[in-house]
Amino acid sequence: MIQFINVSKRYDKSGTVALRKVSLRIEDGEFVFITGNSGAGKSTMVHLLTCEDVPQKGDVIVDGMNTKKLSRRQIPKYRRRIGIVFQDFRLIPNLTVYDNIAFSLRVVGRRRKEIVRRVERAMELVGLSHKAKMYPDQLSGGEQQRVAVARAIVNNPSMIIADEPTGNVDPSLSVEIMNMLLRINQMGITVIVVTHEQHLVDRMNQRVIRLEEGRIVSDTADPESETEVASDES
Amino acid sequence: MSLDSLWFLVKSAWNNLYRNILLTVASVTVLTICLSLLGSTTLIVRNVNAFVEEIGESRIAVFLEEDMDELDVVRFKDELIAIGNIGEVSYETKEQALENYLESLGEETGMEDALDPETFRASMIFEIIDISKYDQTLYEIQKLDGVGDIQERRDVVEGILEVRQVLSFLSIWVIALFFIVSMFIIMNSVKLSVYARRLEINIMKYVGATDFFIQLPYFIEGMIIGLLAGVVSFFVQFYVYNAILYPILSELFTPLSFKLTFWIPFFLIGGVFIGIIGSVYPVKKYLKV
Repeated sequence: MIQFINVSKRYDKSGTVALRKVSLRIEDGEFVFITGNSGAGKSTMVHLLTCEDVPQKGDVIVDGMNTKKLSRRQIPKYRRRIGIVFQDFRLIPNLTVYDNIAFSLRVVGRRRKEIVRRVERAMELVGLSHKAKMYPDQLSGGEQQRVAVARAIVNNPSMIIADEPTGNVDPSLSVEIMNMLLRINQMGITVIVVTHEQHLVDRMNQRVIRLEEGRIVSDTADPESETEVASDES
Repeated sequence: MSLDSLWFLVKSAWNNLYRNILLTVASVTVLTICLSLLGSTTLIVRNVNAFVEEIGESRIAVFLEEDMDELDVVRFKDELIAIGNIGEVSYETKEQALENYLESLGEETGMEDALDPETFRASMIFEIIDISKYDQTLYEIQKLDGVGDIQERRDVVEGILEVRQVLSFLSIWVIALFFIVSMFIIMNSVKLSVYARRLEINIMKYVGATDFFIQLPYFIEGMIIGLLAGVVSFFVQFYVYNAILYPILSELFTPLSFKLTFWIPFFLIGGVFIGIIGSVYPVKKYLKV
């Protein structure tokens, strides 16, 4: 379970307030969209979840762990519970599809047998088994993103965070990526998709949390939140 | 850590070195110079010591006063030994002194009958072990009862001491200088390869690789550079010493042989050590994970 409790975040250098007293709760196995214009605080939420940053005020609690209280040594272990998919894929160009996916298992010290088994399963799941030996630049944008998704799930995370996963993908393939994430969600993995593509959000019929200027302005799972903000501002 | 991960680390370190081949060559070269200097100084200092030992310039002869009986001699020897910093003491009687003298003149000079042992003086002969404490030891000896005269080669000892001092002073600075230079080179190489690999490092971070695991390839790189430098400088030293220096030095004395059991570990361990130490600071500086 993920909890944001009165989280505020302000960037000291620029003085921008990225999040203002955000509270929310995401249960295990949920599929959630976080939407909003650029600068609304979406990326900050991702950074707080991946422990790249900690909130100035309030707490972010993931599976019972307060991210503020994690030591430097605990952070890598914590991150192994999270699979991340980036807008720009971030595949390593000189590694094959197979090695790109295996990469995230090798750097956490998994055994060879386990790596082979898990990578094969992940490739199957995203439908790329036949392209295992290809390099990223031989794949289409949609395929590259599927490799990135495979890399994110290969380590059996409890949560997947996809940060604008369709931003660099042909619009006709966006739905395909979304459906893949939905399938992963059906396996019991919590999926958080950060996006500003409203048309995608609309057709998926999932929980949507909308941010504006660092505040939650609507949450389909919690219709109260809208009025809460309104009363907060009045 | 699994074998697969270890293999992965070594492979990525090796690839990195290969990718920046020019920098690798530069780092290995500077480290080789650094190690060769270290080796040369060690060789020189050890040879100077061997030289001193062989030509026996630290040998001292203390001539005894005429009126000493056997008991006095025994007492004197005990007192001498008690001072410390002196090697085995041998007592040379007047008769032995005469014999030694005649021997030094060569055979059958006809002087055998002309000389009387009484014209010679009995002496204690020994070596100073640590010649850096030469003066102090000599001073203690002079204070003993029964010292007639002391024969010593202070000038030579002082010369040797000075050479040794200058050598070790110079070598420390030269080695320090080269170490700093190699640090800078390794630093640059780390900086470049961190830049070249920022994507990989970024992904490693996100998938939960530990700081240590991310830094490890750089330490392995440092180690490989050090090891290569160690191997190269071993062969350089081996050749220079055996083919050039040894023949020259053997004109003067019996130089030390180039002991492989000492020099192989010396260069390999030294290289690896400097390589790793040299990469700790740059990695911490440029690889903020």
